[in-house]
This record gives sequence, C-alpha cells and structure tokens, in this order.
Amino acid sequence: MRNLYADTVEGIIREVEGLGVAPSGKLTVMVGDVVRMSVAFKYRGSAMTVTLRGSIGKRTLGVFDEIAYKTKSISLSQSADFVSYTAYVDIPTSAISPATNYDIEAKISEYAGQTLVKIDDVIDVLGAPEFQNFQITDYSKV
Amino acid sequence: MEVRQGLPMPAPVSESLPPAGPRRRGNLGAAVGAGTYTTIYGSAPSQASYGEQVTIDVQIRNKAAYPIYIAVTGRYNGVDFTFSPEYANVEAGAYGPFSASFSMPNKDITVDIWSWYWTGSEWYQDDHTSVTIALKVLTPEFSGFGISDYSKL
Repeated sequence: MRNLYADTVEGIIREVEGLGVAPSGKLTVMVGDVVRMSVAFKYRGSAMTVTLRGSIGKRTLGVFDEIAYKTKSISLSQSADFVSYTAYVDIPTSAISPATNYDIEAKISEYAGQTLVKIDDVIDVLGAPEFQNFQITDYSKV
Repeated sequence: MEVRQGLPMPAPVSESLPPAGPRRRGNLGAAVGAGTYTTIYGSAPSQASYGEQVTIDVQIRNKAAYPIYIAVTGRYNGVDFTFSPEYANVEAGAYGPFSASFSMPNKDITVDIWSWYWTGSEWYQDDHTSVTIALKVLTPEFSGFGISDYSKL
C-alpha cells in the first residue's frame, strides 16, 4: 500500500530544497555551500558577450565589501527590440565567515551603471556544527 | 564618342550573344581605360547593422553609340557577390539596372563594383567604383535587470 504521508513529506522536502528564495527573502546556508543567484533582464543592441557577476558581501556605510563572487560569460544576440534573458552564477561561500544578514549584488560588469542591483540582509551563513554547555543534568534509576 | 587606342571595342548586340556573365573578378589595379564605354551610377547604404540585408543598386550607362551587352560584378572585403541580371542588353545612351544583395558582416566593408562590356569574344572590364559601408553599432541597452531568486545548491 502506498504511503501517502511519506510521499507527501518527501515531496515537500524536495521542493523546498530546490526552491529559490525570491527577493528579499532570507536564505540560510552553511559555510562551504554554493549559492545560485539567478537574474533576469531584457537587452537590445548589438551582439556581444558580457560578464554577469554575482556577489555576496557586507555593505557598511554604503560601501559593499565583496567577500565571495562568481562571474559567467553571457552571449547576447543582436536585436533592435528588447529580448528577455535569464542567467545565473553559482557562488561558493567557503570564504564567508559565519554571520547573519549578508548582502548580495548582481550586475553586468561591462554595464554596471545600467544593471547593478543590491539586496541587503538576505543571506545568513552558519558555521560548522557547534555544541555549547554540554553537561549531565541528572542521573536516576529507570 | 571617345575611343581609346588599344581598347577592345564593344560588340553590337546583333553580332554575338554572351554565353554567361563575367567569370573573372574585377581587377582593382586595372584602372586604365575605366569607364570608356560604360559608367557606373548607383546607390548603397552608408551603414548597416550586422546580419542586415545590404542591397546595392546600380545603373550602368552605355556610352557607346549602339546597343551593347553590359555586366556588373562586385566584391566586399575579398568576398565576391553577383548582380542580377547576369548581363543586360543596354541601348545606346541608356542605363541598365543591376542589383545585388548580401548579409552585412560584423565589420566595416569596402564594396568594389566593376562594369564590363562584351567584345564579342570576352567580357572586358571597363568602369570601377567603390563605396564604404560602415557597421551600424546598436547602442547596448538593458532593461529590468534584477535578481530573480537565490538558492542553496
């Protein structure tokens, strides 16, 4: 007999694991995890190859300290009309210290003035598993 | 009509029919005698974007005192292209229309155009002209750039 409960739970877990967080939802990762940052945009102009850059960092007094980033080349076709594109970069987090409220940025490097977008306080990074105050609280006959 | 010494005369259309248009390329160095029996007039775009269809329209004037066969060939950046019709019977003093088109490459080009007349046994290169077509660069423009989502792999 089919276990509907188990199937449902497994399905939900799978869905959650593969689901991206929409801005500006919070994403929690462990140090060393990879964050996939997806972008969408429209482009018109001559054919060219540009660089998508996705970053994780900390913004302090308006200055973004880029801690981890990844770039990817994107080929854009020539078009006189706007054409929609989607792309992503996979950013490793091994260089990021465990902390909360990291900020993210994405841009087309060659056209940062037109494309730079920032979202603050959306990534929490957890460190290695840690235990604190582990102790025997009591002992009794059972 | 001026007839230069040493140049083959165009054959009147009544004498012989060309089997085909010119098979040779135009020779950029052969400017001597250019335009003795024909003159090239035409139009071409000053710029075109990459992949755009470029059309070259020319009118070749017959400067001979009788009808002759005229043909046109062209080349841009080392690439030969053909005009339509392959050749034409053009009345004395009249203009024969020829047209060609090709896809604009991803750089500026210089288009060379040659007119030819039929001597009765061969095509003779007569007039030459060239035109530069600049690659039209479309201004890059982005719209609605944004982070759509982020996830842990």
